[in-house]
Amino acid sequence: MVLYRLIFIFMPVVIYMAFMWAPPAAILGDASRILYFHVPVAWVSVVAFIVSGVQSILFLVTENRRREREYMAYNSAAAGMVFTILTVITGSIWAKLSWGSYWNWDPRETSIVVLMLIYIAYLSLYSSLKEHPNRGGISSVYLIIAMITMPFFIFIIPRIYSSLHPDTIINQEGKIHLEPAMRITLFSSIVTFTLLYGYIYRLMNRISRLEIKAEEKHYDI
Amino acid sequence: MTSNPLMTLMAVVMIIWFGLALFLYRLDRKVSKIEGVIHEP
Repeated sequence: MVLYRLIFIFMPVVIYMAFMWAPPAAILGDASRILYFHVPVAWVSVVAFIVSGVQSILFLVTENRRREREYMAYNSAAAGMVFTILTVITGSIWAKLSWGSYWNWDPRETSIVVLMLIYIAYLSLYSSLKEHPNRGGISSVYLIIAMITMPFFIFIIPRIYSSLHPDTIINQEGKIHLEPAMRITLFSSIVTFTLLYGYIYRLMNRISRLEIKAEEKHYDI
Repeated sequence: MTSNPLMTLMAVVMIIWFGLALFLYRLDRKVSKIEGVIHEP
């Protein structure tokens, strides 16, 4: 799809905006530029996990295209896992720059690690059920439960306990505390990273479809 | 090499992105080619 191919143009523009166009933040200075990568990858991991949960619901409630739904749910969870790891890495670098240590067991850091473990368990479960006749059903139920727990780990737990983490974009006041140039850069980056996820996800689904076609034709893969 | 560390960092990020973009583009083309073969009657 042409829309997803826009990332080849958008991403270099966003990288330029993040490093050269957007002004440095008042206290953090140039270190704050990691915001334009950390927030979008965190956003994409949430989107990916929601997509995998929705595909799992569709797998359970619809009769048609079940095999397709199964691998679409898996692919989105796998992509979300990669983006979660990137969120942890970028967050850790940012923590070192602003708090002086890569890891502080801050509520937000801890909650993202627990969420990551939940999805690692899903990936293990899915691969261990390879020969099971109800692999899709079991893994779909797990993914739906995982999706339900996600808002607690991302939005609720870090708000209950006091955290060093700055106010999130979706905060209690409903205001974004950023200068216009920073806001434009951040939202451009969020859109671009969402497109990147879409591109990778689509590519993964096409490869899975080919695998199934090859299986049907009895190719040894 | 430039003396501005921000420029250097941007150049590194750009190189990583172009590497990833090239990989994705080539993978996309390969998948399209295989799809063409498989969907042929």
